[in-house]
Amino acid sequence: MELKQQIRINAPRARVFAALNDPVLLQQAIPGCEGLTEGEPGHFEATVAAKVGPLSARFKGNMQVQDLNPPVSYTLVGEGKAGPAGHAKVRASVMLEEDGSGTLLNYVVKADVGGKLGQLGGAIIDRTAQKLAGDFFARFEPLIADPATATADEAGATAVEAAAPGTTRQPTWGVWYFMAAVSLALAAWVLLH
Amino acid sequence: MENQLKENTQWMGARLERKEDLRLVTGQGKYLADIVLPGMLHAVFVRSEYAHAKILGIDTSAALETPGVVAVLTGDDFKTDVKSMRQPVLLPNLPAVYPEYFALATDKVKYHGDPIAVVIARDKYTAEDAAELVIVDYEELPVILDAEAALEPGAPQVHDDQPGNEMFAMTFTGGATEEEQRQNEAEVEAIFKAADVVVSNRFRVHRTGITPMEPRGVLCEWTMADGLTAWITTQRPHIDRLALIDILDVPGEKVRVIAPRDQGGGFGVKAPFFRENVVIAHAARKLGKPVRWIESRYESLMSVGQERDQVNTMDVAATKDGKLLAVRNRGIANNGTGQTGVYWGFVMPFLGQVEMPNVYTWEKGDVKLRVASTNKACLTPSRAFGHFPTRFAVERSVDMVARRCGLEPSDVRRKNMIPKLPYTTVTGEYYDSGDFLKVWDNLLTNIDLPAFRREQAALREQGRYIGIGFACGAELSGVASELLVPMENQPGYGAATVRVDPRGKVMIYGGDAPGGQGHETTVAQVVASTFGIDPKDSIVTTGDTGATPFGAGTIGARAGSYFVSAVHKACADLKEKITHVLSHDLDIRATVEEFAFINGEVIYLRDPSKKKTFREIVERIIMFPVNLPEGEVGGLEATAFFEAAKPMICFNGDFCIVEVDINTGEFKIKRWVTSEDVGNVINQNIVDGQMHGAIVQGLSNAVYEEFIYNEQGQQMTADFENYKLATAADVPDIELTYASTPCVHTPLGTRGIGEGRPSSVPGALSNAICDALAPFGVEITELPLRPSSLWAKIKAARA
Amino acid sequence: MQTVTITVNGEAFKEAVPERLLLVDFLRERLALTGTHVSCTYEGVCGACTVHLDGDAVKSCLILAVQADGHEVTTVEGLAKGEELSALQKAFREEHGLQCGFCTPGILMNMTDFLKHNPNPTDDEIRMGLIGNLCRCTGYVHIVRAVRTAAKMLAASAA
Repeated sequence: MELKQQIRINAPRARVFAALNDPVLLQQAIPGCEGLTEGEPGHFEATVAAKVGPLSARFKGNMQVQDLNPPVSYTLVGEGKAGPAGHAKVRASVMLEEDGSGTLLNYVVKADVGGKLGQLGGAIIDRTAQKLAGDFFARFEPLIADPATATADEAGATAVEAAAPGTTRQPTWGVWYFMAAVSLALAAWVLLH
Repeated sequence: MENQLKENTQWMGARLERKEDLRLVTGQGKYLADIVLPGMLHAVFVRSEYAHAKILGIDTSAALETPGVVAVLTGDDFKTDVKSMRQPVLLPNLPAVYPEYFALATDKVKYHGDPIAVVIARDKYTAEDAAELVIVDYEELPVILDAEAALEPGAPQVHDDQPGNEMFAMTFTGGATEEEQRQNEAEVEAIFKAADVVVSNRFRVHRTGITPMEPRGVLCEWTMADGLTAWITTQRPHIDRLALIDILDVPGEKVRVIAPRDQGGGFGVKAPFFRENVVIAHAARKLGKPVRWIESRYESLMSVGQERDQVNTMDVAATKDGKLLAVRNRGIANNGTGQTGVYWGFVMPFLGQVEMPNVYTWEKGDVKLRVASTNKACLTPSRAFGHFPTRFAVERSVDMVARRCGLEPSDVRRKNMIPKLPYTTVTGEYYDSGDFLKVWDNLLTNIDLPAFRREQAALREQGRYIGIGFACGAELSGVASELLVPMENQPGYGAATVRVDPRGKVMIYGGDAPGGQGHETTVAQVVASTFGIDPKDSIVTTGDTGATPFGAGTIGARAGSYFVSAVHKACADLKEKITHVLSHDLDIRATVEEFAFINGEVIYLRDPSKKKTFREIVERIIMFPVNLPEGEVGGLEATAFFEAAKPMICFNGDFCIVEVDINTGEFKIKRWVTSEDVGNVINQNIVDGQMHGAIVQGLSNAVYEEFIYNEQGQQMTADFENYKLATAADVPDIELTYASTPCVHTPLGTRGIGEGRPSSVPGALSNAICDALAPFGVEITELPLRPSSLWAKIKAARA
Repeated sequence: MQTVTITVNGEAFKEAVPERLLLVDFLRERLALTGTHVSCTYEGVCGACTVHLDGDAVKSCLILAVQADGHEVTTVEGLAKGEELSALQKAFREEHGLQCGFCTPGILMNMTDFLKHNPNPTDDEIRMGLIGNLCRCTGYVHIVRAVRTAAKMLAASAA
């Protein structure tokens, strides 16, 4: 299955890029996402419940961020197993273009679906993928428009701009926590001495 | 009514209502899924969802904890507790590389649907629920799906013990030694170099087969005292029994296999020996309770019924007058995993090349085959066993030769048709008896060809395109031991026990298990005809190894050729005894030929006043066996084995008329006409029905059905929604005509029919379409025949 | 679990059934009426499971037993009146309209309903009416003839 789309998000590119790599935000945006955690840097594990045609499936899967090129593009590679319902392998390429005050988000998703889910046929899988993508962006946009989340993202965005392109890096919040931890440690050292 | 029994052969050729039908139309049939044993448990299989993967682990804990679940078995149970599936009784006698396998997948799965575990529970729904809780940890392996690619160096290996993925390879022409074969190749090449006309094509036939309406099933009961009783949806109960004995390591006196009295079709799909038989039998043994598995349609389409799937690169050399000179064919068959007992998939393409030369007088042939293993389901036999693709290739090639020479395809066929039998083809197949030209000429009486050509030309002026297409096929009439022993390590004789009872009723026992062919009726007609009684006085029992003589199975049209011949022979033996005793009682000296068995009586022809009723004389012999002639003892039962002197065939010619819409690629069959040599007919309705069924199966295969695997080896057509069988609205009415010659090797002159019958269908249909589209030069070399692909060809041709 | 009362071939049965028990399984397993067959995986495509629900042909693999609560079901076992076969049953025997018989009960049930609404069908109409019944053995030719013969028989007896 291949899904190709371009949508416009009413937020600046840097913020969009950071948000797309923010696991806290992602978990809220992904429909049916019951948990999203990070193992090694850039490696995520997620549990997502989805209904594909007549089959309800709970996917347990892992994803990996690759070819990170902030704030322009990255690739997400993942695979999930849905027990008796089947399995899926996904590869998503995301590319962002500045469009005035907003961002044009281009994505291409390629998925190999197998097992009973796969046998539902391309039409059902395509429709489901379209619907899930639509639901995702419907939830995503208001989340990044929210000023509460904006602060963290700005900080993260700065950190992201500073990171070298093409490297796998820690997520925004990890960097923030690290910086906070370092600041605390420094403060503690200063206080104690 | 009294007049009906005057003639001795009055039941031969009759359109008698079938004995099976009363129970079947009232829902009283007993198929495997209708058999229930007290305390019976239900089995559901867990099958691979990957085409090729290592099994890292199987977690059955959740399944076992489900209330109502009694056991979950996996490959480990079968690797140690029972023997491998690769037992000599299940191995053909042909030189192939047979990969090892067990009843359930052990370390690897090799096709989407490979059975991994079995869940056994007190009811079916619980077993299905629990099967979904079995968690299998897979490590995916590279998948290989294309046969030609599989044979390339460096391709992913399907079996560790079959490097190169070549299951089987053979050269069918030239001789036994490589030197002779090479010499033959050179001679054939010389013919091609000198020929006026050479047509060369790559013919591709998709994966399809003849799925029966009743899926498979196995019910096993194992008791300490009596051992195993296994009810199996099988065409071959006696062979299955041997396999169970060998694999489960059980003494033969403790194994009985019963094919249910009613089976919902076989068509070859129920002829192999399947792993599920072993799994269910072993489960019954382990659990001490009966266990039943009924295959779901999903499982069936994933695992069985897949055949054809061949590429045949065929060159045909001819003179400019349409005389066929030589055929050169390189066949490549996609065998899937090849792991199904008896045929291992490749025996079908093997026979497909043997039968390829059809009925033409080729001077020479150069025929080779390679069979490749891939990550698809193993091929299962399907009516037109292996030669559906090769028939298509030859019949298309003949038409192309005709078109190149500017000749009528039906004339080119006639010109090259074997004029006199017996005949041995360039691949060594023996055609015993029949008159091909008579059948062909009869076919042509059903169409005024010049008038058709005029109509065709006139319609072309109006932008309408009709066409006529011809094809023919010489098909197996039974399979002789001569062929079955080298091919499958099994005998081909027919066997029947005939038992007369003191009330004049006759019981017949046969080991081959039918699946709808009406054996109970045809056999009763043969007995009635031989003994001069009514068919209702005969009862036929088949398929129980505990009660019937050994038979290799209902395969290859054995019934009308071998089984009924054995029945006739046993009856003939009994007639000898009856007339011997009767002569003695009448105090005359007479041989069996001097008696007529007619109208329920046995009459001395020289003096018709000397007679007894059938019932009287048989009662006398069985119940009052005193004052018998010297050397005779009482009782009337005989078992006879029949082996024909030579392998036998039947023959058919077809034509069809189609109209093609060049704007959509859609085509409609206007007429389908056949001409058949079926030998002497026992039941005309049953023969007609066999022809209709076979032709529609051929149409359904050629046009609608296709097993599709995606690039990851996921089988996408595992339900009837996606794997489309032709419905009544999709197929035409069929006109059958007959021009038969009695078979010279059977006592009744009958031929076994119906097995290979679908094979001439794709040739006739595509020839008709190409004839319609001749102005555009469209030549079909691939199946399936879809309007979309035809439309694309037409569009390309018009560009 | 739910207790249902279903009248099958004129006899009322009161049974406790799981809500998800399919009508075809209820008939086959609970009532041992095995004339109704399962040929596809409960997809509703093959038609072998066809029965009548209040006189209308339905696919019993697509209906839950609980949905038939309070209703009348007729199966192939209920077509004959004692030993007197229905017109279709007789016609199928005469015209050799069956071989393995696995699809036959479903066709008999479907065509019984069909002929009620189409007493004088053309062959094309019969073939269209049979779309919901897959047959592998006969090629449909004798089935169509049998339905035509049954239509004539019914017309003759009605006359």
